[in-house]
Amino acid sequence: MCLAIPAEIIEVDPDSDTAQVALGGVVKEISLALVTDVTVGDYVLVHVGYALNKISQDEAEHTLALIREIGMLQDESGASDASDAGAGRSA
Amino acid sequence: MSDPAGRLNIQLRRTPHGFACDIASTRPVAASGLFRGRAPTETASLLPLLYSICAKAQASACVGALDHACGMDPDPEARRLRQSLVAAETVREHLWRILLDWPLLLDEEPDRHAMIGTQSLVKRIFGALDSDGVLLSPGCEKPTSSRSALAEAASALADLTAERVLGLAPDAWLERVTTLGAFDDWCRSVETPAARLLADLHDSGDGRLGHTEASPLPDLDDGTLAAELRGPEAAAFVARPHWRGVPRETTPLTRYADSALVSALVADQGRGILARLVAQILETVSLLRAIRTDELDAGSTAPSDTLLPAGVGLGRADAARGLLVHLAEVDRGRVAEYRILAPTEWNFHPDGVLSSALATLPDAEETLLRRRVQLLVMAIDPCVAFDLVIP
Repeated sequence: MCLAIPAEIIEVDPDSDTAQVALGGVVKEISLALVTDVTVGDYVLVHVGYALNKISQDEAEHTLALIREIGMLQDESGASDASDAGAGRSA
Repeated sequence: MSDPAGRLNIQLRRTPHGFACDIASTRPVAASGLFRGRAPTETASLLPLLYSICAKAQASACVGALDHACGMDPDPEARRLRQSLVAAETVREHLWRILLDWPLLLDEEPDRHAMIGTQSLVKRIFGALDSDGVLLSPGCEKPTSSRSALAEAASALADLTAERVLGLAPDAWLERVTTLGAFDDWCRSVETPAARLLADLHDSGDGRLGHTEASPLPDLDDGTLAAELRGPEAAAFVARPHWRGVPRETTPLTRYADSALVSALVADQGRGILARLVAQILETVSLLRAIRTDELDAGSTAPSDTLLPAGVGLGRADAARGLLVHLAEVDRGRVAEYRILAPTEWNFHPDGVLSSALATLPDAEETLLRRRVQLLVMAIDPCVAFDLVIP
């Protein structure tokens, strides 16, 4: 039951191996530790702070359309799911 | 925006009788309604796009449900290969926890390099099991797999696990580490973060924390599950499932409760953090062997003999976090209803095993309490991110 959300890479920081991604209307920092050869404009699947793998733009748009269809993805900026509490991952 | 994948909010409260726990979930349990009105083949191709974390378990349960609903009896070889796909995915999911999350509990860096290797090898195993990419399509009759490519990739994954987790070959670990004494010897003689974390939990006594009475999900037949998933309360059931009024547990601990090592640990330490983490390691090692020797047990995913109404099908997969069940109803070539019952809804039910386990924690200062709560949540392993609110 676990969704991985496609996100577009908008900035890469090679020193920290992280990137800024656009996820819905929100910009988030993610780790690129588990992927190679990603650049600005690529789409990656994001799961709890890690880019899991690169996907094509077509696949990303298709998946995002499905997510919008079930009314989960709200393209609005300003809000965030930030939390200072502990966060875990999984699938 | 809220996280579209959903999150768990786990809140601990002090009461005169100890801790109480509130668990709220924003997981999109009704998302499978998206498939209503679509053709079975389209559903089977869309579903893994959406549920891409445990995509093999999801796709396997999906194709099982759709084949069943469409009156197709899958080729036994296809069923066996699908089970191997799910097993390889479960190994990858457990290794994610063991390599990336467990070192953090020792204040050490995650072993990202080993996880990159794991992902690449598991991808090779997927390719070897499903050379033509048809295995997870409804009605698959002639799957093709490459035994030599599978053996090579699975053996490399076993080597990686030996080097970064076990300190010895997985087969040797399975044969040797079957008693409390052997477990103690192993985790004190090996320098991997996994072994050191388990030794630390054993020595500190924290491994005993979170003990709860066993309430495993029984082996329910297809007819019983289908009745719950098609009944008037089906939407509530998939969000907060219970069986005979009790939220049950479906985890690696319930799957491996009868093994010599886990039952010895439970007898000595209770069904706490240590027994749960060891069950995850034991499952990883057991599945690595089963994939290589082709000896997977159908277990709880074996089709039951119950006859379901025409057009209704049930599919199951032993996903990393527990039993995953899909129900499909197909009418005139279109999906009329689709429900997914995922293990996280059982295990993280507001009155489920995590909630009971957290309520047993002794009071402690905030940093220690937070670490123990994180350990317990990780040991029961939700499939989404979680937020903790500690008093």
